[in-house]
Amino acid sequence: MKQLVFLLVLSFIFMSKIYAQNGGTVRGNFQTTMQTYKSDSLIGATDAPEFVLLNSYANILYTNANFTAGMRYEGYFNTLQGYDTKNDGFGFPYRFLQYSADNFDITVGNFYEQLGNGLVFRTYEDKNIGYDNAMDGIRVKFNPHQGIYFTGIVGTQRYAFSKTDIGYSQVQNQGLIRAFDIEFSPNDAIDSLNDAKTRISFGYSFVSKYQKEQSQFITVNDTTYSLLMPQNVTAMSGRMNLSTGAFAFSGEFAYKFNDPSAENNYIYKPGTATFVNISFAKSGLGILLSAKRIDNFGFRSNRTATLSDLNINYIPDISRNHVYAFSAFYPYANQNTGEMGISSEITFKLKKNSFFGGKYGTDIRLNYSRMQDINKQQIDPNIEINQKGTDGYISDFFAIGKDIFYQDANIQINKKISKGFKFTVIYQNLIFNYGILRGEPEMQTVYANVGILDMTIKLKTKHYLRIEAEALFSEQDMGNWAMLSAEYTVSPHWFFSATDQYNYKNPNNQEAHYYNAAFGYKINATRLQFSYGRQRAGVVCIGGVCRAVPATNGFMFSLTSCF
Amino acid sequence: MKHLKYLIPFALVMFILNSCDKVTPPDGSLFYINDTVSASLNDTQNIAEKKVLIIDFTGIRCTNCPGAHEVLHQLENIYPDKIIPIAIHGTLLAYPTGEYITDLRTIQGNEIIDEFGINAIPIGLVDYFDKTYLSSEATWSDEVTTNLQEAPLFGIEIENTFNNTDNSLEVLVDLTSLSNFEQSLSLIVYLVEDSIITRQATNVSPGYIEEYEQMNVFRTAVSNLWGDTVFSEGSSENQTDTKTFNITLDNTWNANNCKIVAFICDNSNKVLNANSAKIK
Repeated sequence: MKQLVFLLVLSFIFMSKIYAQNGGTVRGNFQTTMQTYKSDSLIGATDAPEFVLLNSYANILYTNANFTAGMRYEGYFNTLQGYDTKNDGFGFPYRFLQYSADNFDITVGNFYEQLGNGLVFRTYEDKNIGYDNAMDGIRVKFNPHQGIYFTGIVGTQRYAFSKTDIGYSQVQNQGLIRAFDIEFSPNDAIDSLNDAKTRISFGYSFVSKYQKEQSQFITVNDTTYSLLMPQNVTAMSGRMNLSTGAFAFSGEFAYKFNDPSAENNYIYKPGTATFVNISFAKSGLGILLSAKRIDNFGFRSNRTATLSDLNINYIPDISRNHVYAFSAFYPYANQNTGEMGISSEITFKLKKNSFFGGKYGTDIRLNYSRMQDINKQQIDPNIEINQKGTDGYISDFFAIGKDIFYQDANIQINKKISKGFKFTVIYQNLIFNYGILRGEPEMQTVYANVGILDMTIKLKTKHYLRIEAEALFSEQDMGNWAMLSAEYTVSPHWFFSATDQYNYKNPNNQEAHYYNAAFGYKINATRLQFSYGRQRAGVVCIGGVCRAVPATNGFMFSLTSCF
Repeated sequence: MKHLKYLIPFALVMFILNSCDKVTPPDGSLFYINDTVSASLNDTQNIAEKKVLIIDFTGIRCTNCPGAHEVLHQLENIYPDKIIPIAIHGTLLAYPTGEYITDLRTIQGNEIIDEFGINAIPIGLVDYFDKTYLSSEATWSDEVTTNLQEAPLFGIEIENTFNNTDNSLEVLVDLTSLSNFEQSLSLIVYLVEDSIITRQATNVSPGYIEEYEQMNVFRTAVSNLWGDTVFSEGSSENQTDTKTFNITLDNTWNANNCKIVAFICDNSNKVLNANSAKIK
């Protein structure tokens, strides 16, 4: 019903456009992906009883002076394999009205928001990983003076496609979120500091969630008890950004009170999260150092939620987000219950016309990241670490846990040889704790070496050939992989590609070719793509948030369009 | 008046700063528990008692599934004879491979899993037979506790007559309506087997248990898989009906460990009551 009223309001706005002097603007986009499924026992692909599955989205945004209204249609007929089937169905799960004037910005309905780095609050959506924790409620932004910014938020969160007559995001025993943020930037607030070389800003966020008590039982000495449940859980964080010349520093520290949940096995230890970034950038040289430590910091609006459901916060990922098939083969997955790590990256350019730089110069990128468990000690000799219903464990802030989760050392060289030829070379050495990061303790840690060569050749005006050769060597998991891909582009309209990923020396003797052929056509802002082939089972992670991708064999069609 | 708006953020802060509950364990305990044992339900109903159906979708290679079994076990301890579980083994994680040799999947179980679109386990259904209500094991305790407060809407009695010589089984299900219903209902009757020993993956080192006791394993539907219509004209209070089913047990099933599970659903697929009885 609420949706219907909203539609009427929106159509009224569009109607009024015809009569209004200034009609405002309408923008939007549409996307649909269809896939057929054929069972293929060699790679573990299954068929779909529906034969073809389809996910589609359409966003519409209307802006007129201070007023904005928007909505998104989502249709899953039925949901593509590898996405949450809770989504089956269709509707307008995202709609909002926004008005901004007089230092105020007011949004009602759905919205996405991030406070600071997201340690205590971040809602966002990413269709690639099937992630959407949109708020449904009210957001008020207020800036009483230059350099002082307030944000206030109340509402509930979207949970898949749960539909009831009270709204899309309503689920049984829904958690309620109240949040508040203040940011102060002296450089903007004080006139004499406006042009200072050193810039500084401070922020403070406060988030409280309420969820009604739920029964959880625990058996101690053969007697079953119910657990005490805090109904209101608070998290808060302080942050600072500082930059002077080529240096920049940003840091955030967050604290969360007792929050027993399915994710942390109902332990009551307060959580902490620390995130620090230091960067240096000068012509031709960039250095980035990041560190984070997460201790029991999953934060969800429903204490029984798991996977990527109903997250209130977001733990930033500091490992490199790779784009090539094999360098992204074993991506890092954030461990909200406990992780600590560092990451560093150096980028520099070898000058043009030097011995190594050549005619066009050479770009080099060195990257290293390592993630470990945090140190965990028993709270009592008789109580196991992470025992349900207790404080769980004691952790020394600076002590490093014994398990390595992930290590990635890589070097990338980008080089242009001539106007018609350029290439990228990557070497990567990887340690991947499969047991922890994919939740399958029986699996061995994977040690892998990856090499990638990506060449682009300009054949003639508007005709490009891109050849990608990749190899992954590992004695664990699925063994070795080799890949060759060729992509022919006639810009701006056409592209054709053919790829084969070959899995060999597979420890289970399941060697297989994963071939795929595709072509696409693009005109103005519309793009069609058609492909056929096998896709290997794996995991796609964006920013440490992951989705399992099942093996598939079949045709895929996608259409995207912007207007 | 002009400056009134500046009060808004401060009002917000005042509201929010008060919203935190900090709980403490009872004196001398490291556990954050209520001192009193919590399970106390009215056992005064004599016609029939409310029982709760839990369908547990599971698999031998699913590392998190023993966690769900533990929740079930805990519920059975705290609410004895009130929990009616059915474990349906399926999805890729029930597919036997390598050292996992036992196949507990069934064609009928797979049909349910396909129909409900289940691709990630453990997941389950508490007192529903509808994919809309699939829920993780973390919520089962809460759903069970809530549902057990409800009055029973149907009485279900099961009488099994097993013939050892030819493995044949006659199942009599007596239904008593305890309220008025203006809709037809469906009766679903399944056979499950306890104590099947298999290798099971776990999420604690070394990652598996060699001899794991699988309980309530779905073997076959006794009624139609999606249920048989009962009280097709609706039912009135105290109206009764009896359904009879005949099946023959597979030789590989141990009749001593087999149970019949019966539950009755309304047309929104909500389970009104459930019961189970051993075959022998």
